Amino acid sequence: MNLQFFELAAALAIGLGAIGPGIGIGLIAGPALAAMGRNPEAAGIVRTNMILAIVFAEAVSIYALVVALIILFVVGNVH
Amino acid sequence: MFGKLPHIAVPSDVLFTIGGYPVYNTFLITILSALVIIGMFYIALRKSRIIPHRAQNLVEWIFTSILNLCYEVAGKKNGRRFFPWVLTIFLLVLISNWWEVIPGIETIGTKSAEVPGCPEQLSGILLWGNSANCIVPWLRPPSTDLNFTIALAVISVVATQIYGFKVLGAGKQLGRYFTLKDGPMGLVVGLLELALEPLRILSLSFRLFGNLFAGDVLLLVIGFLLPVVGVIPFYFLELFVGFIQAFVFAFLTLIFMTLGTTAHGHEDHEEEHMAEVAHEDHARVEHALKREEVPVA
Repeated sequence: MNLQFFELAAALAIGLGAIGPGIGIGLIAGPALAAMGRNPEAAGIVRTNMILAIVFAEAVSIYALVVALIILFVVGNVH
Repeated sequence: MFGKLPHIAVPSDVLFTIGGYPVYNTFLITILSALVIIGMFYIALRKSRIIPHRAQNLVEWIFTSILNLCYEVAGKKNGRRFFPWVLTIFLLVLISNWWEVIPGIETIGTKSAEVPGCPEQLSGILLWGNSANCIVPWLRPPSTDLNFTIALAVISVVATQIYGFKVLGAGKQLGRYFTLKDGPMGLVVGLLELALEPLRILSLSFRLFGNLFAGDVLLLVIGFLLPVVGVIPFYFLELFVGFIQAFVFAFLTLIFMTLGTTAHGHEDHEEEHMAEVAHEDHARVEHALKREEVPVA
């Protein structure tokens, strides 16, 4: 019995890994936009910090992407 | 059927060797990016005037925007000190990222039968059908190669450490990681912080690589699914992503350098500075409002 689902594994890695960052980016951007609407003078500072926070949330999905790429191109090629 | 799904490879390809040293297609284009930046600044600032002309205006605008960002985040003295790093990283990564949207960058190259699934005989200048992806491209965006992004991240992290030793002194900089002042918990936290430093290299480099590699594959796959028209909206997306990632890399370098040169227990100082900046902004807005009220003669 030697079942190998590399494509499925890669798809699951990036698919499941993108759920969390998606929710996280929504949670960051929503209040940030509300803050910008309430206080347009502070929009610059809010926007910079929003991008910074989004980047940290997004990094998680990038790790998932890297795992998916490793499964596809490295692990898949070894077997 | 006009083509096959492009051959997607993570490592870049060797084009030729100079004295036993391999030259990769991503390395070639990194040199090109540097030449583009040097050329841009040379052309813009060759005949610089007090009243700037168009190209000079553009370069000066980039320059002052980044300089103001550095001043806002790191303060006057340190901001000026970190500015060359931030501007260099920003421009290099930006130009490197934007290569990706130029047509022909990854579709012009040498014919190669070594790509998996390729026929032995390749004829003609244009490749069709089953042999459509049998190519070693001459140019490939540097940010889709891990070597480029890891090198930049290592430079960024090492420079941060050097500035930490230079600004704080060896005692305080080492005291950030090995401290007995705050009890055993402080020691553990310090060691954790030490372990996090090399992880920054990982997150910085993989963020840039992941975004750009994914964008590159996205363009190729969409171009395969719906040729010519399908990719047009994604070109704009990739322009935006390329800019954001370049900004993020430079901005994170700036933030890490600022945090690395601030000793513990100086947070109140930072707040003071932020209040100062906010006050200046307020004054500037008021000034601008006053100016607008003056009727134009």
